[in-house]
Amino acid sequence: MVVAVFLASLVEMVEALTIVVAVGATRGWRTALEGVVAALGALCVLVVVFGPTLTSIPLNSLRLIVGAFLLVFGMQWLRKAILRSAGLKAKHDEDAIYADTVASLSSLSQRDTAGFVTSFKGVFLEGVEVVVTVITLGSPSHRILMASGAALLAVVVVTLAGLVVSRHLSRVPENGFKMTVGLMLMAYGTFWVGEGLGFQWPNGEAAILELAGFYALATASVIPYLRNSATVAQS
Amino acid sequence: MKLFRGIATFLWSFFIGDTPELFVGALAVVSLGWIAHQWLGSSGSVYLLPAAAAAVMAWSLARARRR
Repeated sequence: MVVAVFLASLVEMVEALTIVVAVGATRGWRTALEGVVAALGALCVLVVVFGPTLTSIPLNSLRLIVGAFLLVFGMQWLRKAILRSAGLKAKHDEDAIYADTVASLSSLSQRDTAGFVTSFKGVFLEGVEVVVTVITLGSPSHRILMASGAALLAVVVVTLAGLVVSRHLSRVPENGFKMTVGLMLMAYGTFWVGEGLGFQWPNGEAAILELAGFYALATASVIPYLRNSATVAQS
Repeated sequence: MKLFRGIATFLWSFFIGDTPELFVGALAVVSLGWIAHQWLGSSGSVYLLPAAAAAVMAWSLARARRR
């Protein structure tokens, strides 16, 4: 669970950092950091408002709802990663996102507002995904604190990496992370849906690893098939 | 009203986006899991649930390949 939260947060934070670095380079670091601080504040409000309501939901219902959401997120992540690996979808290019953000900001005349809003949106939207991941993976097993710690560690790692590599964030092997996270989210989702419905998994929590293995095998077998069909379609 | 619409758009793109089949598929997987648990108990449904999720993924990938 900790690894899944860490990797998912890592991917989201790389995306957010790309936007913040682009804003900082074109509009100045003060505007970019103001957007970051405002977004972090908004995220804190979100957690404070909605976090406590989770404790009032019966555990089995919470597991079922969370499991269903994890299944949806996992399938979305894994689908994208499989399609990218098979060459049916363009890889996520942080350099291209950086160039697009710089170009759109350079053409705008309202200096500070545009930079602030871009930085705020980048951090807030990616941050919401991190919050949802932390809550969905952490709450059914009562490990919210551990999940939050993993997410925080990812934020620190990405921030430090950002200071070192600056705008060369495309070096992060994002598709591999995305595939691993997708597999883990699907495994957790299936497990929690089963728990919520009252299943007795044969090997208890070890079933999560078995489920991840099953989905990994299915993924490994489908990628060459899709890659071949993409090659045939191109030729 | 603008805020409500903004939140609704965000939630739609967050949970459904361009893959509505995954959202519908996940609901179908949960429903199938519930029915299977009533009929077969845990012994059968622990295999049926991941198989159903894999089938939904295969359906979505086949849909993406056709596009």
